[in-house]
Amino acid sequence: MRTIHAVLGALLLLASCGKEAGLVAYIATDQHTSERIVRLFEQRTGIKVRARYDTEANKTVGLVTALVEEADNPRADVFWNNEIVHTIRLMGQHVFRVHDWPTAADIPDRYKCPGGHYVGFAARARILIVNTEKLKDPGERPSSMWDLCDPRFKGKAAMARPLTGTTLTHVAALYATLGEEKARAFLDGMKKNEVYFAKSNGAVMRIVAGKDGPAFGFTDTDDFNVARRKGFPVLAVYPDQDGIGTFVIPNTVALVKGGPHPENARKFADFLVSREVEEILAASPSAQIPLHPDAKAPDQVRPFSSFKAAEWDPVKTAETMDRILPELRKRFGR
Amino acid sequence: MRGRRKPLPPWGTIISLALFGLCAVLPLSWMFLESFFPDGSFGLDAWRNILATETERLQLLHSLILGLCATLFAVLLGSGLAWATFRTDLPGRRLLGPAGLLCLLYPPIVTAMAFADLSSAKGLPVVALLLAVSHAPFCIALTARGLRSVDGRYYEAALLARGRLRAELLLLRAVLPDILAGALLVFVFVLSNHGVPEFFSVKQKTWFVYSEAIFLRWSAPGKPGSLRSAEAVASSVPLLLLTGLVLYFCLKARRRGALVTVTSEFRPLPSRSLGIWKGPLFVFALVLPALGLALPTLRMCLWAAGSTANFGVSLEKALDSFRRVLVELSPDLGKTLGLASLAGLLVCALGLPLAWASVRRKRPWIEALGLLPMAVPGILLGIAFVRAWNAPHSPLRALYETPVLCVAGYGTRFLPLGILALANALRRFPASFDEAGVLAGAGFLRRFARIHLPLLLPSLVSVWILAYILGLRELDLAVILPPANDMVARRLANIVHFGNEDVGGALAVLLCFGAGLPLLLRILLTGRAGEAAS
Repeated sequence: MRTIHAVLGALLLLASCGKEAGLVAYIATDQHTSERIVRLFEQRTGIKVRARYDTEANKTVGLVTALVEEADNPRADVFWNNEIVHTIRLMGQHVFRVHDWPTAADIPDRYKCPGGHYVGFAARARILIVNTEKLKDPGERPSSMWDLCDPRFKGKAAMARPLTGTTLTHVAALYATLGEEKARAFLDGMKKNEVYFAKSNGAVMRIVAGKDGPAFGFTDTDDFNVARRKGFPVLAVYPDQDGIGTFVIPNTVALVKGGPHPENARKFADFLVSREVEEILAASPSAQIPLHPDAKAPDQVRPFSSFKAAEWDPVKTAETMDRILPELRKRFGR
Repeated sequence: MRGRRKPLPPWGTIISLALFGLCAVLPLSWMFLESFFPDGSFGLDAWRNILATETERLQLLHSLILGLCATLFAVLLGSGLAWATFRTDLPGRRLLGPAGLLCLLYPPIVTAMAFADLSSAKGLPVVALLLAVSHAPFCIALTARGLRSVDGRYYEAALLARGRLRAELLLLRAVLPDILAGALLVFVFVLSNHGVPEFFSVKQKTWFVYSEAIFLRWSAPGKPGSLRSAEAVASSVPLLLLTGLVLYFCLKARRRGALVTVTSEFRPLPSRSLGIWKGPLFVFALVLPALGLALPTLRMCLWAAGSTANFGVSLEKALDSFRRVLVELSPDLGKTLGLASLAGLLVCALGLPLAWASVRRKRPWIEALGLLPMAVPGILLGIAFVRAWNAPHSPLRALYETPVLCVAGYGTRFLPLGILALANALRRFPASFDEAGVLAGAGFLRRFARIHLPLLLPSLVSVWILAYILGLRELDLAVILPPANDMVARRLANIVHFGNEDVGGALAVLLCFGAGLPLLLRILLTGRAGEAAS
């Protein structure tokens, strides 16, 4: 009984330990980088932010599930997502409220919700990471997504399994953009060409950058930049510049409907989509691509205006994803 | 002459049961009930879709096969190591036994990542072996406990009367329930793991398991009460039934395992000379500590030293990585260790009255009911907590974002281990001890404090250590429960995912050190590996 009393006492003590925050942010992007931005916002405004993070190692179920489960009694004020499709799905479940986004005026319209529920910023591109020691001849290097199906590269290419994350978004966008028949031909072609299906984009980066294994593969620019920073002989190919273009997937930010600190949430969201934060994210290890046309970025970050970005509809992609997910699970989940 | 005292109401049991019901039984029951009413009206649509596709059926079969293979490996490695270190004159046995137990310190995914750096092997055998290594400490601890509980006089009598082979068979029969209980625990933990199978699944060597299918369903959840949400809840039922069935047998095995008596004449089993087998068995005994402790520690240290970059490793880089973790992440580390400690205390505080009621008050259903949190997937338990503690009219709302939710969640998750271990410990003490106290006129509290608590203290410490270590490893609850968000297991996954293996390696080693500290202290104090976790 004494133990029980001691534990109950400790629990009551713990209950009083919760810090009073002026803002609750749910953040699905790299904690190491986003923490710097959160601290900067705190310094500027004096608003204490309680941030809750996720991990892609667990399929990013944490924050999305929490936002859905908490919808009747919201705890979060802002959702900063590292991609766009889950944001659109949550919008469909009426989790977000409308905002006018004054600091995002010059971000391209295709990355903004027409209804004002979310804004895209600081993007990642779906690029081909190429090991320049495994493919030494520049003329022999891939330049298109279809090269993953080319017999020249049989057994030499890699891609993450399209069951979660940006690879799932990418494949769903292909279904929505190219049509289902052509997208299926791409998946079948990759299988026939013995493409190495890895656990994640990071795993693709590691296996391409390493001494053995595939010579190139689809990954995100942030993963490519990890390999570059670590000194591996890799280069990024922005695929299909003569075709549909390179898929670009932005971070997104949205205000949670009924969140406890609406005014501070607005300030934080405006801060996030500002040019200044895009510049910080571009200079960070994840090397995000700014969507503000005049944002400065280091040399390793290719400006958004310097390559052809694929025209894809995130809303249609989100709808397509729900439809094709069982098929993808059947193809890759067994 | 003193009159007979009126028995006290079992307040400890009542309070513990109430808390357990509030934390686990009610929220989970409500979730399952809700799944029969998708979109507000009664329907079995969600339940009709259970195992509806060939992929799901195959994944369940994969789970079963993986569970069996990993369990077999774990028994061979774990029980084998326990036997070698407890029963024989194996060189270095005093170190090898505890080293095998320390394999529990690293989360299975860290062991998997360390192994993946060394070998390109994929598929079922690798997944089964690594999961076996991570969970073999259950087999070590329980087998050691079983061997320790057998009175050496019986063994020697059998040896004299029936010969070596029959004596060994008798011994095996006596220890079998403990070995079986350890094996079944391994099976349950392997069934719920999805990270390691996914990590080693590529190309043709895929080994997707059912727990991953459950997780994928929650990656695109519907609102509570919707058909999609109901389907996600219902999809966990096959795994729940399978785990429940296994835990039931585990319970039976633990009950049969009550062979020991605490008497002053008790004599431990005699040690056997290995003779020419000393060398080969020494190598065998090294396998588990090498794979589960030395390999991850070495790889994580190399990560910290910059081995994942193309610039080579250096001591300066390693020191810098450790310094960064200590400077930047020490608040999270401290909070993690603190919350895991409190969760361990909660497991002891709730587990003891429940185990007591089950064993001493003859309420075996309490022990069976107590297994529920381990039978459901961690994510489902987490969501049940979110729904119950964040409901608009819930009295627990005020505690939702406080560490209390985290302690309650983790405590509930690992409560079954506490109940099982403490119930087993209680069965080992003869009722005559308590009867002597009653005859002497001591009240319940006095008997409990003077007789039972000293006898139970080693088991309570072991339960606390086990819950503490498992709390540090838990990832599913860490991504769902808001205050658990600072737990280092989640942070570690995030850091490694975003390519910061140098910091991740240093953090994993420090986490392992933090997890191992109480276990090491316990082993140093008692000098017995088996006792430290059984």
